[in-house]
Amino acid sequence: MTTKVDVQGLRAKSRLGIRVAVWLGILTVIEYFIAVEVTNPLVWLLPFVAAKGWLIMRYFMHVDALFEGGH
Amino acid sequence: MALSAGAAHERAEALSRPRANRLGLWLFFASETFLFAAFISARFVSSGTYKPEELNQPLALFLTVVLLGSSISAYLAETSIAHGNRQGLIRYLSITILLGLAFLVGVGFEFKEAIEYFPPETIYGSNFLALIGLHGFHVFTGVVALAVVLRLGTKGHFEPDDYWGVEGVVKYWHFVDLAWVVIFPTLYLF
Repeated sequence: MTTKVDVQGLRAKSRLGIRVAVWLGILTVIEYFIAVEVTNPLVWLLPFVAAKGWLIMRYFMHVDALFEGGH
Repeated sequence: MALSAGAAHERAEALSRPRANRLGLWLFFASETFLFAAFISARFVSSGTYKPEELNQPLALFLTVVLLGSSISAYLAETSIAHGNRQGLIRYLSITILLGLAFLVGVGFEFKEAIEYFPPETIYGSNFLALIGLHGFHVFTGVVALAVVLRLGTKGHFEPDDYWGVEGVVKYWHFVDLAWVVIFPTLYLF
């Protein structure tokens, strides 16, 4: 059985995922340089950890679709 | 269009099954979170924010980028099958597995260095090796699960309206990535 590929939907979702990944990369690099430059960076880094966690849960793990049926 | 009783039942079940599976998986993630939280808190309780100078921060940054890269390829694999693109599923699952293996090789290298500079007899060393080992084991099981799904995908399993196997394993992979997002600063940056 062949399934028709939804090219437009696939492109839109892929672009969204790549945008999120770019943001994750940017946050990681900033986080790293803060850690290297600041003496006691714990407080400075916590917002970055929270932001990255939220991006992954919201866009990659689809936590908001937890109680939705189907795919 | 009216559905027969059998078809309506089948349709209702097809809709509710992923929801039940999803809830079960998130409950599993919740229990896993407690496990990781116990190990992470042990690190802070026993050695505060102390970190040895010999820590290989650039390697950890590289491993983070590799794991984030694997997360986007896992996302693209799920998105591909959701939109009917089986080739994309196979391609991106393969990339995810390769990146997962690269991460494991890096962790192995890190283990070797860690045992040399802060052995398991030291407080920091025991926390470091336990946390890295726990996470590495999760990555390993994720790679095995991804390989199983890849094999099923190449055999023609999964369709745009029925791909729970892909969704489940990809969510697990993102969870492993999420755990690293916390472990990376906990061990290398704070």
